[in-house]
Order: sequence, then structure tokens, then C-alpha cells
Amino acid sequence: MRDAAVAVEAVPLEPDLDELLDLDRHRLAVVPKKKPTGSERWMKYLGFPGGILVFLALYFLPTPAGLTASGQAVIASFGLALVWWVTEPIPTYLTSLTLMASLVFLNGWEEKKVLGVLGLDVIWLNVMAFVLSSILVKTNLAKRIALKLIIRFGKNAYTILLAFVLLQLCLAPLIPATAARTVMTLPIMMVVAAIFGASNENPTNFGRNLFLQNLLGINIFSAGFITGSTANLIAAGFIETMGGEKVYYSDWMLANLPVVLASMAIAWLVGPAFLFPLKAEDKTPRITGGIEALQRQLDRMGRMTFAEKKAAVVFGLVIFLWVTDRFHLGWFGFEVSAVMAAMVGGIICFLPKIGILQWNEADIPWHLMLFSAGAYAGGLALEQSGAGQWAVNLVFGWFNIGKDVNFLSVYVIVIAFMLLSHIVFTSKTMRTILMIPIIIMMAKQLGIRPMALALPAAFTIDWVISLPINAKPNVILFSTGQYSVLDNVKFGLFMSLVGVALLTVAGLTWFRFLGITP
Amino acid sequence: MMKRCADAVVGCNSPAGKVMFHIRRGKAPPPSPGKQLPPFLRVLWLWVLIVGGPVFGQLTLGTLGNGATVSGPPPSARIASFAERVDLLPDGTASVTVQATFLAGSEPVDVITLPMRFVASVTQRLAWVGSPAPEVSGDPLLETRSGVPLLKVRARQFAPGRSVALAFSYAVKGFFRPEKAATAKFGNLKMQWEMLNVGPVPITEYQAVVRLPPGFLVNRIISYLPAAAPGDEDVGGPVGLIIDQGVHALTLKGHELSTGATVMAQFEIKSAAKPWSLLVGLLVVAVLYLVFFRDLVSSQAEPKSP
Repeated sequence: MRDAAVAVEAVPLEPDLDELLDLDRHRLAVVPKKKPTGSERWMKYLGFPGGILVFLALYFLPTPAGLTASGQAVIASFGLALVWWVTEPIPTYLTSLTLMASLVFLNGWEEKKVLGVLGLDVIWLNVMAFVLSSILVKTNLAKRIALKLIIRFGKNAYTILLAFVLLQLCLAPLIPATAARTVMTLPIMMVVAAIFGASNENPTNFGRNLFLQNLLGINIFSAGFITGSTANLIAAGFIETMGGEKVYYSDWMLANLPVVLASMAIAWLVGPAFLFPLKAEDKTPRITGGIEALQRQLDRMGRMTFAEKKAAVVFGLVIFLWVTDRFHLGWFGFEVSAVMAAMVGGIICFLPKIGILQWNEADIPWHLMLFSAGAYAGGLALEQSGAGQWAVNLVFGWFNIGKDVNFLSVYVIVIAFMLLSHIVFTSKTMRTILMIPIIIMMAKQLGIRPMALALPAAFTIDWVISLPINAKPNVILFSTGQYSVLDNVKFGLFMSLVGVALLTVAGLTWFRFLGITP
Repeated sequence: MMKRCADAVVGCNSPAGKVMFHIRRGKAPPPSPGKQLPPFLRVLWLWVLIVGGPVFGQLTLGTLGNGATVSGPPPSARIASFAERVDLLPDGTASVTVQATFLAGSEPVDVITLPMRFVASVTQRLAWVGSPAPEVSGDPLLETRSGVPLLKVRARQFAPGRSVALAFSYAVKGFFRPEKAATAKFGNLKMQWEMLNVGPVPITEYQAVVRLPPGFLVNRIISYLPAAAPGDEDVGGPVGLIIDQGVHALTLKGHELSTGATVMAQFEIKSAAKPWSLLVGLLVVAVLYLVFFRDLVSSQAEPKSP
């Protein structure tokens, strides 16, 4: 075992710390070049022809009863995209563009509608959210918040883990992109792990707890806020357009944030105690002066700059507008939607002289916008062509689900299926677009209020925690080598079951109290 | 609302010109008296009619207890079922077979009027399917009144409450133009099937099966009426798609269609033939990918997993 002195000697902390905390090195607009593993290369190699074969099979089979020709074209195009999104023989945004082109060429969905998807409010909200997150990076406000939290709570293993829980909780409503949050907090995690003696050469249970709890926090705190991820907004959009009920920011937060906090509390308690029990030496920092190094970093940042204060005010304004959405009509005489609130923030950010950001400094990952647009086009085309309805009827036919099924049974099945389906699907957006419309239609068929099933189902979207391939944060965190795939599966499956249990209990109590479930 | 015609005025119309269901309704009003009564007696007579009538009615009904409410309103005539089978032929003709069950109300019927979609100028070969029901006489007659087509069937009077099954067929030439598929966008042919109940009586159950020409299928449902509301059992609306004896068909359903109610589906049909060049082209692309991208998996050392 290395002692503290050796570690300090081997790892000159502060220069690395400067480098690690340089968030400009992780621009989201730049598509990262990732070297695929052996299995990934095989997936790419076979995924391309595999997708084509799936497409051909679905498109050239005789059209079954109940399905229109356009519906069949949409299913075939979506099947192709699904295989390519999962196996990634071409970048995900390119698959989305292929899907959009295929929908038009095969007469699956009208060209105007396909192209119009890029103008949907979800896309606009994403653009504006990335503008807002850019001012956090540029002004170093995120770095300051993170450092302060660690210095304030990082006295021992439990408190430092709790500090990260709080850090992720603070960042989740501010930055919708989980990858951005991961990138911003990863350097802090790595430093703290080193301080507690965990490295990729010497993984410890502290490191496992730290990184896996952050993985959980980054992902599921997004479920606490409607703006926490694009998928949440898409789900809310489906509930409004197909289910006929609007989901407000405050509705979502009030309902699901307590569930998410309870889940994190369980992970925080159970993780270090049972899943990855901490040894005595894991519980205290192994590098004397580690916290002080962070303090020096914070001191070097000096007092809060004017730009940081402006960024805080802009964020505060946007969050205020998001949280108070249901009161806008009374206050202003008009409603400021989530996207328009973000746009107000974006406008202020770019204003000459009083603004914070130049256009070139805005870190907007347009490839993610195109990926989202393609996924959204595919999902909407599935719905509007009647193919989704046809699929639901097919499932009903297989499982013989009828109106005599009670709500609780359907609820538990839907929650468990939705939450555990993340193991198969690698995209939250895709999972949302596939499942939420089907759940809404299923609720209608069973005579259940769509919101009662679809909203709790939407709360499971961000539970992507069981495998490194499930989400971008998982990939980034796994790349640190602090834990194995098996560690991830063990932690992820345990917490997934906890999530199902908590959402079931909430469905019978808290959601019922709020009027969501009957 | 249907306006009933007075007795013995066969063929009379409501102001809307759509009343075709003729019912004999008892006697005509009594002729006016030849001698005028004095004014005060006329006023008294009127007062007796206005006040005395209801009082007498109240007294007599009162003595009968709740008899009036127990018996309820007299049953009204209706079309219990109206099923259309439409065969779209490759030459653009729609061959329609209708099976309807007419249920008489409390009054005798001499003419049954059914809603019709097509005017006489395009309808051909209108005839009974099989032997006509014994309750009807003659052939079904297609009439157009104020631009509204209606089918009239002369009935031998049958007792109130009885039903009669009617089955007839007709053809509509030029219902669609198949040659337009060659120039239409994606080869789609837009068409519409509609039941607008222009008849005087409600239709309890309506169903249409529109069988497409062999080799065609429904590309898209453009719109339909009535729209499905959230919570409806039939979330897909009144339209369904089936395969009937190997032929793609669209079904349309309606319930309780009162006069003026509509069930409609607007849809596109297209040839079911798929472009085989697409199949071949994509297979070639897949093979080329396997050839030119084989370096992805060949002869490279396995990179270390993160």
C-alpha cells in the first residue's frame, strides 16, 4: 500500500489539478474521438449490415392487417436507426439524418413535418440550455461551486460523498446535459479520489462508491426536474399532446424529487456500508494537504468576479421563471414556457456590453441537436402513422391485456419494464420516444388516465445506471478505471430495484396524494 | 329535427327538403263550422280549450296513476343496422352492397327512405340482392331532392315494431381514377368514404368495409370523423384496417347516427408493390461495407478496455 508521502511525491497534485480543472478542454461541441474496444468494433462492423437487414425484413414483408404502408415504412426506418444507434457503425447524428431522409423517401412522413422537427421547442430548449451552461464554464462559476462544496463537506469519506450528492443536486436543474455535468465534476472527483487513495491502478471501495454514486446522482437527479434532460421534455410533450394534460415544471419536481432524494439517500447509506464496504483506511484522506490544495485553488480564483455574479443572476432568473411557471399568467398576463425562459437567459447572455458570452464561446453540440431531431422525427412518425397504435394492439394480443387488469398491476409492470429497459437501450431519448406514446395509448385502451401511467413512467427515463454503455456519463466515468463492469452492474441493478420499489410506494401514496395516480 | 308530414300528403317535404319517411297519422282536422259563433262565445270556447284541456288531462291521467310515464314516448322508427361492402375495382368503379335492417316505429310505414351517397347520374345497376323482402314492393328507387340523394323503398304496410331486412347493390363508375397513380406523388391516390345520414331516421349501427383493388393497400389515414376523444375506447377513431380474403380493406364504424351525423374517412391508397431495386441496392451496400470496412475487425490487436 502506498503511503501518503509516496503518493504526494509520485503525483504532483497542483499542476495536475490546474489541468484537471481546465474545463475548456472538454468542449461539448467537439465530437469526441473514442477508440473502440474489440467488442465495439465487432458491433460496428456487423451493425451496419445488420441494420440494413432489419430494414429490409421490416419493409419488404407483406404489410400486416392494421398497419398502413406509411406505418410500415416508418417501422422499417426506425428499426434501421435503432440498430445503428446501438451499434454505432456511423455517428448517432448521422443515423438520425439517415432516418429523417428515409422517412421522406419512403413516404413514411411528410417532408415538411420531418424538417419541422428541428424547430420543436425541445430543440430550442436544448440550444438555450447549452448557451446557459457555457456561461458557467466561461465564468468559472461551476468550478467555484464545486470547490466550495468539497472544501466545506470533505472532512471524511461519508461527508465527501454527501458533498458530491449535494453538488450534483445543485447542478442538475442548472445544466440539463448530464455529459456536461459529468465533465465539469469529473476533475473534482478524480482529485478527491486521489486524496482518498483511490486510483485506476489501485481501485478502492471509496473510489467505487464515489464514482458510482456520482453516476447515479448525475443520472437520476435529472429525473427530479422536467428540464433535467431532453428525454424528460419529450416525455412531457407526449403527455401533453397525446395524453391531453400539461405537466408543469413544479408538478414534475414536486412529485419526483422526493423519490430521487430518497433513492440517493439509500445509495449513500447502503453503498459504503454493504455494497462496497469502506475499510478504516478508506474513510479518511490519505494525502495530507489534499483539501488544502483545493483550498489553494479556490483562493487563487479570488473573490467572485463580476462575470460570475452576472452568470448567477441570469441562472437565478431562468430558474425562477422555470419554477414559477404556473403563476406567470397571473403575474405577467402571459405564460413564459420553459423554452422561452431559457431564451430570455440566452438573450441576456449575448447582449453587447452587459452580456457574458460571445457567440463563438457558446458550446452548443449541434450533433446532439441533430441526433435528438432524428429521434423525435422517428417517434412522432411512429405515432402519426398509426404504427405505434398497431404495435400496442399487437402487444395486447400477445399478452391478452384487457380492461379487467387492475391499475396497480399495470403500474408495477410499466414502472419495472420502463426502468429496467435501460439495460437494453442506450439512449434515453429513444427509450422515451418508443415507450411513452405506447404507455399513453395503453392507458387509453385500459380506460386509465394517461397521466397516471405515463408520468411515473417518465420518472424512470433517467435511471440509466446499470452498464457503462447506458449513457454518456457512464462511459466517461467508467473511463477512469475506478470500478469494473461487474461493480457497475452490481450497484446499478441494486439501485434499479430500489427505484422500482420507491416509485411503486410513491404511486400508492405520494403520487396519489398529488392526484397523479388514482 | 325531423318534421312529420300531415296525413295523406305523400311526398311532402320538410322545409329542409329532406323528409322522406311518410307516416299516416290519423284523421285530418275537422272542417270549420259553417256558422260563426258570437265573439264572446269564441273567447269562452278558446278559454275552455286552453285551460280546460290540461285540467281534463290532469284529471284523467291522475286517475290513471302513472300510466302515461310508465308507457313512455312511442317507439320511433330507426335503421337498426346499415352495413356497406364496397369493392373498389381496378377500373375505378366502386361496387357497393348494402345490407340494412329497418325497424318500424309505432306507426305503419308505406315508404322506407335510406340515406345514399351517390346521385342517380353516377349510380348504376341498382337492384335487390337476392329476392326482396316480402314487406317491400318494387325496386329501390334513387331520388335526388335539393341535391341530396336518397333511396326510397315502397313498403307494404307492416305492423308497428316489426323489422325488415333490405339488401341491395349498386355500382359507381369513376369512383377513383387509377391512372392518376402514375403521376401522383409517391403514387398515392387520395379518396374518401363517408356516411352522412341524410335520411329521416337514426342509424343505430353503421359499418362500411371498403375493399381496395387487388395489389393496393392503404398508405395513410389522412383524417376521419368523428374524432377520437382522449379516453375513448377506440383511440384510433372509427377507422380500422383489415385484410379481407387476401385484399386490404378499410373499415369504418359509427354508432347512433342521427339525421345529419357523419362518419368519414379520408385516406390514401397506393400500390403494394415495393421497389426491388431498393432491396438489391441496399444488399450491395451492406456487402460493400463488409468488404471495405473489414479492417475494423481484422488483424488489429485488441485495444485495452478502459
